[in-house]
Amino acid sequence: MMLWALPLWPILGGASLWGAARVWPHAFGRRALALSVFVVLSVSVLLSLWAAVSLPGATWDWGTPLSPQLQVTPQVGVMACLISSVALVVSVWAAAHEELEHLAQLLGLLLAFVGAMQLLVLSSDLLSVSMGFELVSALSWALIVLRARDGRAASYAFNTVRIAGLGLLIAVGAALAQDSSLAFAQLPEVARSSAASWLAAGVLIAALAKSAQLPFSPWLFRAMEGPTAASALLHSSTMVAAGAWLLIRLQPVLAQVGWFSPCVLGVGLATAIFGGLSACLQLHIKRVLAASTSAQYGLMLVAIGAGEPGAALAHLCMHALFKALLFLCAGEAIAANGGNPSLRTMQLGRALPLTAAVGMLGALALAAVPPLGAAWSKEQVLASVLPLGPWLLVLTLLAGALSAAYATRLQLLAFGRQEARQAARAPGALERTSLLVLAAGNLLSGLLFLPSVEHALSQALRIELVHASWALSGASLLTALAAVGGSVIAVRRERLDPEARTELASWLADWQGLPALIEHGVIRPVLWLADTCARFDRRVVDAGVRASAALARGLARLSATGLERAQSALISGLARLVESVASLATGVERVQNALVGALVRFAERSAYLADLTDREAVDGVVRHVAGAVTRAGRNVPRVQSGALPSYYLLIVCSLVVLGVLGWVGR
Amino acid sequence: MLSACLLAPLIGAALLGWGPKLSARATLTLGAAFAALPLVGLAVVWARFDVNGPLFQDVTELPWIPALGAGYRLGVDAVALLVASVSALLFVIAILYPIDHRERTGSYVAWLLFLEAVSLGLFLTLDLLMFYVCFDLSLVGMYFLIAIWGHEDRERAALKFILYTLAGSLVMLLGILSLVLARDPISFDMRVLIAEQPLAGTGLRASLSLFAIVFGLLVKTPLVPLHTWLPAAHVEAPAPVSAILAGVLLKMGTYGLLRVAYACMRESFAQYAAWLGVLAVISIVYGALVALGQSHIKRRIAYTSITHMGYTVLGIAALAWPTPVNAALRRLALSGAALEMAAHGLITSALFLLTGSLYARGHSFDMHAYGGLMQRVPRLTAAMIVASFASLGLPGLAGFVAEFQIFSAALASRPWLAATALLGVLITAALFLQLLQVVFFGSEADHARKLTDLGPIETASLALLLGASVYMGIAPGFVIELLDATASHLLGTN
Repeated sequence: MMLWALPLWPILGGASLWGAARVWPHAFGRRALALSVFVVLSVSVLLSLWAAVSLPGATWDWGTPLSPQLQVTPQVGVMACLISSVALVVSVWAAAHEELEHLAQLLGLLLAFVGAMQLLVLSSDLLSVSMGFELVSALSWALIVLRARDGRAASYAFNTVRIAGLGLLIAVGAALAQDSSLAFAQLPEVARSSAASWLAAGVLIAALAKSAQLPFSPWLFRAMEGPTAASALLHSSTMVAAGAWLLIRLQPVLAQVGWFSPCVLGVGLATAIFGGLSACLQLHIKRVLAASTSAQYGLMLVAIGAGEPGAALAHLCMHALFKALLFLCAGEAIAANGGNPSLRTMQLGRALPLTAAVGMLGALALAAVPPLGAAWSKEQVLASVLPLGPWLLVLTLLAGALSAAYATRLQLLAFGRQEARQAARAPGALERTSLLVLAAGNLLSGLLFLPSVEHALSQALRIELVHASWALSGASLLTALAAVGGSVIAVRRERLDPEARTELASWLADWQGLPALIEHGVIRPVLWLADTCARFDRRVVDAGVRASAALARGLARLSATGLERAQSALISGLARLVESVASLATGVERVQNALVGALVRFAERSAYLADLTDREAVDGVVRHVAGAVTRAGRNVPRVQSGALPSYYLLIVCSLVVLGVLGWVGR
Repeated sequence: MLSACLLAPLIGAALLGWGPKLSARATLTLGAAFAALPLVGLAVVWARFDVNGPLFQDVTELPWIPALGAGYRLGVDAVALLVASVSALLFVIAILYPIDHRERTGSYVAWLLFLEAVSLGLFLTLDLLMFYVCFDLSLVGMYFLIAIWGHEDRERAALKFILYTLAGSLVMLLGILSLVLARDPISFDMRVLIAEQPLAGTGLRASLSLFAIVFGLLVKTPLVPLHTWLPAAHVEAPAPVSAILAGVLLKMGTYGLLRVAYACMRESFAQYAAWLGVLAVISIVYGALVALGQSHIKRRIAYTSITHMGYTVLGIAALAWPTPVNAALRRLALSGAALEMAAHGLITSALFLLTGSLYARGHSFDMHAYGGLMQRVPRLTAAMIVASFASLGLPGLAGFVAEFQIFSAALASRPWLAATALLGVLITAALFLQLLQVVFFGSEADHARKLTDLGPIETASLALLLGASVYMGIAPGFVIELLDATASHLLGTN
């Protein structure tokens, strides 16, 4: 049961931080907050280490067949440690960097977010993984709303990632259809059954939406409205990682479904290339990084599609390290630039020397320059596609070259040294420490190039790593260097003024028009449909009801004369009864008439039918009932309230008696 | 014990309706006390409910009209117990929640207590005649609550409500009579009807009776296209009455589907369950779309009720429809449908109460009249955010467990149908987020500055409702265990 502490601890810590800062608003200055998150997340790191070493499992019994289960495997342990430690650095940085207003709430949400992500990573069945998916979505919504004030961007992001949760639901249905439990361990049987395609499709939709792959990518741009610390966490080891993580875990199961691997590979490659193009032309510093996130996760999907989830996991970890670093640098750059995220006016190399230096390290990692760990993991990805043919290798190299190009451009524009300008705000000691810790992590990851470390890692994690040949490493490095060189030249000639920018460049920079396509192809049609349905509902559906009331009224008028005595006695008896009921609800004459009419018609029909079948017997009953009802109606005093129940009791009873007698008469 | 649950609110209603006139405060306290007594009684029944016992427990029986086989019969299965408990909780909160009583506090509380008694009567009875009588009497109580304490166009809405649902209930009566008369001698005892299935194998007659009963229940549920009374009634009803309407009265429809249409006529229900599922999916998607098209906050929430009741009906259909899949899935569908009734009761009531509080402060139901309220009314904002996320099915809250069970059962047996319904789930999320965004975020509207935050009673009521839904979301195990016991009886797997 102790394993539940790993997700619950940060959630409870976040909630208490939120509550405490509400009760004692002045007690929580930056230092107190930084200390609080440091303590909470340090415990998380220790818990993750414990989990990674002792590999426990836990179940939360809800009754069969649905009970959330957690199980730590070596890979899960590594992810848990990665999440806790990246979150630790990012949260401390956030406590030191973000605006003081609502800072405690922001940190509380960040902590809860870490807990939700731990739940997602630890889970070993589809139920708990979907709980994790939905929780991180909701918390990221809250993170964006808290700062941006405008819920629009947050809703856009949430609605997109909600699709992921529903995709998982489809996978759950597929598993249950095969009489299987939801545990990952049982899914291989489902994948061999007739429901396999549903399972694979559900998981794939979930992963693509969450990891911002095509066609769901644009939500990441919108999510950039949130605070930078949140982006740093979301993009590195949490949220976006959830999709790729799910595929890494389930790849051995889903690879049995024929169309699955090619599909994952194709989408990943397309996202890597188109995302890279967007990043090469974006002017919003955080959006460059966002597009790069999509593109890098695209590379991980390529490895998964090629059948090497180990390579994908390696790249996921390396990406988490350098992307967190890059986002923190971007946060410093925006603050130094007076809150303006545009790359056009930055050139902060002289103003922020330390940030520029660690940013350079991050950019080199993004460009996959050895001896950084990111270069090693990119070679893993390249080696995984190598057996699949030269074209795929060339395209993957192209995607890699694009990331080297936008990394160079980002570094030159944000931290160029051409202008000597003052920073509007320089990082404090805690922020600098956080940056340095992450930079150290990135440097250390270079150890993976040592064959002994690589071997030990693959043993410990029980993953297969591919051995990249010297030729492949050379090709990777050469394309990266060529892209860096090309980018240096291109940046010199790039016209950054909005007027001078061609439409093509803006179009390419914003996911090649995909957001507009979604806007015009999905959002607006749905809103239009909703409006139309609302009007239809009011005018047409309800009109049917109103028309039948009017029809009843008309029929009542027509049939006022010329019917047999028994019928009219019944009608008038009922009508009087109904009238007196209706008169209690004063002043609604029209609808009263409708009531009369409706009941008249009902009475008429039943009386007429009864008359046809057995004139004598039923006639007597009808007269009796009508008489009794009329007498009862006269006798009951017309009080304001309390009378209606007895009238209804009367209707009920007389209809019961009518039915019974009708049956006896038959 | 169950009789006491019915008697307490009835005595309270009589006392406050015809007894000496008390101060408003004393009336409310006394009323809430009477309303809370059934909650205590039901807690005792919860405690002694035996999962290995018979289907119906705590049975009480008195003869009423022996010639017709009708009697005063009470007893509970897990579904009845769950729905009745949520209803009793909602009545306590509805009585206490502050609204303008128009100087008639006594009769307001009396009508609510009367409505509580007949609602509990409906959920706790084992007699079909008593079920029908309670079904109709509940309309009467609701009629007066809307017609006297409602908003501007209240009388028209109240009349539309009562006529529409009364028409439905009359049709249902024909079906009930046909069901009851099929047995010789006549019996209104549900236990007998469930055990003997009198209409099984009668072909056309069974189908027609089923149609009649289901029609009446679907008007009350309501499903598209029988729903147009619902938004009108919700818009005009005062907030606590809206909460009761959504939380208790709508449940009568789905509860009846389970208890009467499914349990007593299993064969013909299974025959048409797939069509019922189609109707439910139409309601889910259509209700969500129409809700998205509303800028009137209460109408918007009213239409999401149609979506949520659609989930419940989808669960009930999945419980019954023919499928090659095993009994575990049917069990899942039943517990999903029952939990959805409880979850929707808690969550949508909270949403309606919040809408009432918003109206009491801003005097408008148009969401565009508000904006940027987050700073001014943090408690109201927080409650609305939690209730909205609960309604759109966030894990950790009651709705998720219910929807997860319903959809996984439905997707497992009819994937295309259920996947279509997922569109409705997606739109529901969008429409709640849009509501939150327009009302609480963005730039602050001019008159937002004057608004005050939730008062203590409002805060406590909402905390209770949302707390209950968190509890059900985190630890649904104890309810699911009981529901499984009922399911094994109904599915004959015990």
